[in-house]
Amino acid sequence: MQEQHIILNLNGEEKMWVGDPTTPLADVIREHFQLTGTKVGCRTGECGACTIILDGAPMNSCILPVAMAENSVIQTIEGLADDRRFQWLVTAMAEEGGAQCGFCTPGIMMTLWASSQASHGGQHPDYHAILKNNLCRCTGYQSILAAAKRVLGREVNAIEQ
Amino acid sequence: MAWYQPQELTEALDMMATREPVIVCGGTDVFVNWLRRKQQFQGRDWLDIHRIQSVREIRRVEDGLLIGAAVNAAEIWQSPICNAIPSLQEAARVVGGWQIQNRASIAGNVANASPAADMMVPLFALGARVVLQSVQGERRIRIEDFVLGPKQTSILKHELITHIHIPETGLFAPQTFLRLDQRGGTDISLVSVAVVAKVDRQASHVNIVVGAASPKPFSVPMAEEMVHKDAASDVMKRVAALYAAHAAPITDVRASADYRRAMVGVLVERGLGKVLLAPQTTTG
Repeated sequence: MQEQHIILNLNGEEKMWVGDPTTPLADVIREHFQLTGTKVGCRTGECGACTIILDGAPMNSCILPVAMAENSVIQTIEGLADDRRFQWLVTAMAEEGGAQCGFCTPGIMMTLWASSQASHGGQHPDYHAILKNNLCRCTGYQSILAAAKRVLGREVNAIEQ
Repeated sequence: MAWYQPQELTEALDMMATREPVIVCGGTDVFVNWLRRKQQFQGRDWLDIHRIQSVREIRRVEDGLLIGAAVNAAEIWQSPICNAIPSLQEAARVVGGWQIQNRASIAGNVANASPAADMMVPLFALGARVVLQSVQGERRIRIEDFVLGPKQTSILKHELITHIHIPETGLFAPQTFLRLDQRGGTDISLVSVAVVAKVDRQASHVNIVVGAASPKPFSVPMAEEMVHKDAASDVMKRVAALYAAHAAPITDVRASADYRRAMVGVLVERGLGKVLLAPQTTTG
C-alpha cells in the first residue's frame, strides 16, 4: 500500500503521521503516539475497548482506517484528563466500583463522556443502549450503570444551578 | 494500491470507470474483512466516499426522501426528516451499538446484502429504490431487484450507490420494525420484520417484510392481500402462519431453523397488531 502523509488532530494538537493509510487508528494512537489508554480487544468493533471520540461521536478505533480520521477532531482518554465532567465520571466509577481489571474502563469512560456531550435526538439517554457496544467481563455492569446514572444526575443538577 | 478520498462525486465516478476499487464508507464490514483476509484485497485501491458532501445528505424531494449513500445509522435515527419513516429509524437504532451506528452507512448495509441486515428490511417494506450512478448516467432499481441473495447484488462493475430513494407512499404511513436477538445488543438479528401500511389509514394495503429468515428479505403477496380484505385478529394469525410457512431459515450458532420459523410467525402477528390495531401516533 502506498504510504501517505496524514495530518491528525489528536487531543487538540496537530500531528503528522506517515504510513499505510489502512492502518487502524487504534494502532497509530497506541504504537506511534504512545497513547496507550486506548485498548485493543477484539479488533472487530464489538468489545468497545478501543473507543475514541471522533468529531464528538464515539467510535471503534480498531476498525477505523487512519486515513478516514484525517480532518476530524480525535479525542482519546488522555485528552480528557483536565475536563471537569470527566473527573466527575472518574470519581463516580471509583466510588461505585465500576472497574476491576480495568481493560474495558477507558472505552466505557469514553462512551459515557461522549453521551454526556450528545443530544441523543432530544431523548433521555438510556445507558443500557449507550453501553451496548462496550463489553466488561468483570463487573456485571451494575456498578458501571450506577456510576453512569450518578454522573448524569450531577450533570442535570449542574445545569439547573 | 492507494487510498483515494475524493470530495466530488464526479471524481469518484471517474475512478470507478477505470478501476475496481474497494468502496469504503463507514468500514464497519469491509474493513473488518480486510483485517481478517488481506489477501482477498490484494492489489486493489480503496475509494473512500465519506467526504463527498452530496452523498452525506438526507433530503426531502418531490417524490419522497433521498438518503445519501454515506449517511450513517446514527444520523438516520437522529434526523428529523427521517421521523417520516420511523420503521427505518427503529432499525437504525439497533444496528450494532452506538459506536457502530456512528459509522455504519445505509448504502453499506444494502451493498453488503447480508440476509440479516437490519435497515434493509424496512427499506423493502417502504418500497425503496437504490440509486446507482456511473459515468454513463443514473439508474434506479427497486431494492428487491437489487438484492439477489446473500452477499449478492445486481450492481454493475462501474456503478456506485449514491442514494437510497424512499417513495412518497411510505412517508408518515403507519409502520414498525421489530427484531429478535439474544442480547438486545451488538448481536445479529435472529428474525426481523417490518410492516408498513398504506397512507390512507384504511389499512387497505400493508407491506410485510421478514428479514434473517431466508436468503434475502421476503414478503408473501397472497398473505398481504388477506389483510387488505379483512384485518381481523384471526386473519392476522393466518397471515403470520403463512409467513412462517414461506420462511426458509437456516440453523446456525445463534438459533435453529425451527425456532426462527416459529418466531417469524410471532413477529409478523405482533408487527401487524402494532401497525393496524394501535392508535396512530405518527405526526406530520
